[in-house]
Amino acid sequence: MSYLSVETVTKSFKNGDETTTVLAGLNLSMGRGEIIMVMGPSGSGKTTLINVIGGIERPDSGRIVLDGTEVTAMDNRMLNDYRRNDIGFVFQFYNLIPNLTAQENVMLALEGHDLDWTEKSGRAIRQLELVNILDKKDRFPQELSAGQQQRVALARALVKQPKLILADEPTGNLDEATETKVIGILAQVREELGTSFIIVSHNSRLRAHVDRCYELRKGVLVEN
Amino acid sequence: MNLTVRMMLRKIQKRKFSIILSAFIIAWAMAMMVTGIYSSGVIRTSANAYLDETGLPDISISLFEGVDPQQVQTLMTDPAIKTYEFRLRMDGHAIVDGKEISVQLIGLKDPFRTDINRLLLLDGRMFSEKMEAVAVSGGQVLGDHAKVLINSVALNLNITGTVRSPEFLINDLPTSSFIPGSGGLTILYLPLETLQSSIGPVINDILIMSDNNASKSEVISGLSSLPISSTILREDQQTSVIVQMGADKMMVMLPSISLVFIFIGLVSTFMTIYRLVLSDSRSIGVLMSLGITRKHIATSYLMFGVVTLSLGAILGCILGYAFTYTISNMALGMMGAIPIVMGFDLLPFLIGLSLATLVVVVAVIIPITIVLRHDVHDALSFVPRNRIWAWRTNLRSLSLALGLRNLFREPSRTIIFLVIIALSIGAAGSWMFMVDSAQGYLEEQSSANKWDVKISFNGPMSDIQAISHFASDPVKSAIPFSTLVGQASLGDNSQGVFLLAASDIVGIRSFLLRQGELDFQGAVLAKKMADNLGARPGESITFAVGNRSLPIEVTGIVDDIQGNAIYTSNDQVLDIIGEGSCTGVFIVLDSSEQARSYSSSLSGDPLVGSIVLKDDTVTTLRGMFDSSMSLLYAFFALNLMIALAVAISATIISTSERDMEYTTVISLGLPRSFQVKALVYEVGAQAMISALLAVPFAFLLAQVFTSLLEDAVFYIPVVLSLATVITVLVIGFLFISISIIWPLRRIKRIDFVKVLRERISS
Ligand SMILES: Nc1ncnc2c1ncn2[C@@H]1O[C@H](COP(=O)(O)OP(=O)(O)OP(=O)(O)O)[C@@H](O)[C@H]1O
Ligand SMILES: [Mg+2]
Repeated sequence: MSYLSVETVTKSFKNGDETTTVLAGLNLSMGRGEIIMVMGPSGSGKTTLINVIGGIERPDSGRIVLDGTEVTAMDNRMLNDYRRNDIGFVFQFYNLIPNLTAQENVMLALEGHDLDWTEKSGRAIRQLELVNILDKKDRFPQELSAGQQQRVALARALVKQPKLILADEPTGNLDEATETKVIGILAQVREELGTSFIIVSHNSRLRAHVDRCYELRKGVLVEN
Repeated sequence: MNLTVRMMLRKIQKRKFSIILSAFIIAWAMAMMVTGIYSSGVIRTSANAYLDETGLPDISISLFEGVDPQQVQTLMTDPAIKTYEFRLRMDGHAIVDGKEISVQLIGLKDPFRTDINRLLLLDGRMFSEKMEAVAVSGGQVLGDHAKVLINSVALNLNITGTVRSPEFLINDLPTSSFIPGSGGLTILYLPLETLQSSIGPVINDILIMSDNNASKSEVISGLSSLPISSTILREDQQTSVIVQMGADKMMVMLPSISLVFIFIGLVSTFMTIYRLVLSDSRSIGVLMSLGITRKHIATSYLMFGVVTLSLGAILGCILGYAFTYTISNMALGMMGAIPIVMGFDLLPFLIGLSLATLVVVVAVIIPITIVLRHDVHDALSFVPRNRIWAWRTNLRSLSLALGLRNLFREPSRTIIFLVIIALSIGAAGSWMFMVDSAQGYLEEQSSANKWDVKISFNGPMSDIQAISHFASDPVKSAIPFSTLVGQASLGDNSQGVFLLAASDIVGIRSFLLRQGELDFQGAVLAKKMADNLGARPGESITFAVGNRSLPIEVTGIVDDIQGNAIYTSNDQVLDIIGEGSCTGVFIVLDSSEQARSYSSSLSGDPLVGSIVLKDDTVTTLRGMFDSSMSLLYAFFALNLMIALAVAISATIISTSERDMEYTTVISLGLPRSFQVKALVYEVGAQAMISALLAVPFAFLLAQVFTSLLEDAVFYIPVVLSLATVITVLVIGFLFISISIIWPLRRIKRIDFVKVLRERISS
């Protein structure tokens, strides 16, 4: 029994008369603590896949089960809780809230969790320390470089200790050294907490650090 | 269709609500301006039409001695003379309530003439017998019979009715039963022969209707052989002058008020367009990089202005027309029930429209110019300067931190919004201040009275007699007084006044002193009158009754609802009222509740002429206030609508760039309450700050508006009462808070998947 199983998921978009099938009976199965990577040309459906697994979009058909819970059977409210508790997103463009400091952005992910302020604050600080950016905790996103913002976004995804982290091009804006550092952090988190990762990337250098690598082609995943 | 036009139409569609709000605010400003100019014209034309119809004479000539009418008749040959009337006009006096009042008697042949100075019967019937007369409304009430003395000849007249006469049209404006004869002249029309029988077969007053303006001087010069003492042309006649003044006041008052709204409209439209153009900067860059000219882009953005202006102009015209009708009707009603004549006048609308156009053009051109100044590269890489308010205070609540920081996301814009919202709430609140001040003033003025019953005698009586006569049981004290109606003058200024003289004025009522001191050995004047005369404490004014006059030194100036009141001690006016005599008495009872029973116990008393209860005066006063009060409330309610529009528009502008934030929060799976809380804090803080700012604005604007209203309605001193401060705060807070509905709806409707993708695509 796998930790995450995606079974014959389909998703298509209608644009006027034209229908684009993005996911065409896609299957994926991964164990707890695995890191997998998804590659694919632009427009192949990588973001769509991540959105579907993360409960942002619903598939047209198929089943998604994470840790024994069927995501595809959830109503909107449950999906919201699922995103809050089980999933950590790292967006392609970080999506930090400009009016919150680095630390507050991380703490934001704990909003709605039953923790007091000191506890939330402590956890955020530990997480920022882990991604090696604690000294910038009181800066606003505007005052951070792209790489630093990406690390804050990563800390935000990690702080709630989700079951699965979905990262869309997390190293797109990072130089090679920072990229290595970030990958190092992922590995460390996986060791400590047994978190699973799906990373979307064009960057073949990452392949060395992941357990498996897939290519999204014609709506299905092909291992390579 | 042109691509940029199509792009603009889509944008307009998307922002229709903001556009409607701006248009509404502009329409309001425009309507105020239109109303001021238009109603001033309507008042003028209505009054002129009425005066034409009722035959206000083109020329009124007074002679300083009586002349044989036959002799005058031979001079009336100028072909420009359409019609004329010969009258005999005499000053006399009558004894009313035991006091002497001056009466003007005008003898005329035919009271039913419609072609010149037409008399409109208000009640009773027209005189028909020799010893009958009709009174002009607004003067002192003489009763059914009046004994009038002219040159020591007594006429015992039956007063058969009351008339309204164009030459004394506004005679009843400042009068009411409560304020006897304030400014109103006592004038009687009676048969010409009646007067001639005591004076001789002469006339001394000629009214002429002439063909046109140019011939007036010829008409006058044709009569130059007569002993003319004064020639008054229609436009200098008092009725014309007062109507003119009323019209002028509208012209000044409403357009000045409209300036406040023009400013509000300018700023809010500017902010709406600026926000739009800024957020479009990158698309503008793209258009420029594609080789589309700046002129072309600017023109397409002007479409926003055109749409806003068109909507605003249509609404502004409708509102302007409606306001003009209402306000002119009220003003004309006050000027002796003149029927409204609402002729169409293009000019006010043109002025209003040009103003609205100016506002919109400025509000649109500036932001477009700012953005189009960038070169292609700058525009393409343009990031709206999101100067974050680096307020790092630890608030121990993320939603609070987010809400407050969002409010000050762009500090300068936030400050503009706070001020403009506060200003519009303040404009509404100012009417509250006025209503409250007026009511408080009314209460104060009536509670200032210490007496319970005011008794006027049938004839003068000695003070000692009066006091002893009214000394029986429930009476605590009786204060004799005399009232006189006359004329006060200082330098070139003069006005009709109401003088109250008593030995113990402080025992009758209390005063709110504005200047000088409460020394009744001199004259204490109502502030409005002091202002009119230009009198200051220490100066001496002349008080005249009939042919007697005496100087009185002004010692103090007080707030008084009766703008033409003079208070003084009775020995100051001895010459006129006679030593130790009085015409009435103020009664203070052991308990105010006894007032009614006490007054009925006096019913058979032969000395008592009339009785006034303090409670009744309050009721009458309140009635007088109510009509102006409802106008103030109406303005308050309408202004609140504007305030709401401004607040909504501001909130929409400042929360419209939040999509990414909402989306992030949703994708993080945070409870919706988080975002709602942040908004509540943000809009709540905005509402609180602007409501606080609105209070001083309201107070200041109330002072400006009352000084504009002063002559038209009443003199109201504006007071800063805690109750009104709280009302303005609470109502302001609530109304601004309503604007939270729009961002809440946006959160609810947002398609966050789409926004996530849009972000990626940018
Ligand atoms: N809301 C939508 N309506 C119509 N088509 C859509 C919609 N969302 C996505 N698509 C289409 O689905 C396809 C997959 O999009 P997706 O964003 O998943 O690609 P991607 O692999 O992430 O591309 P990239 O590497 O460029 O980020 C694209 O062809 C896109 O046009
Ligand atoms: Mg993508």
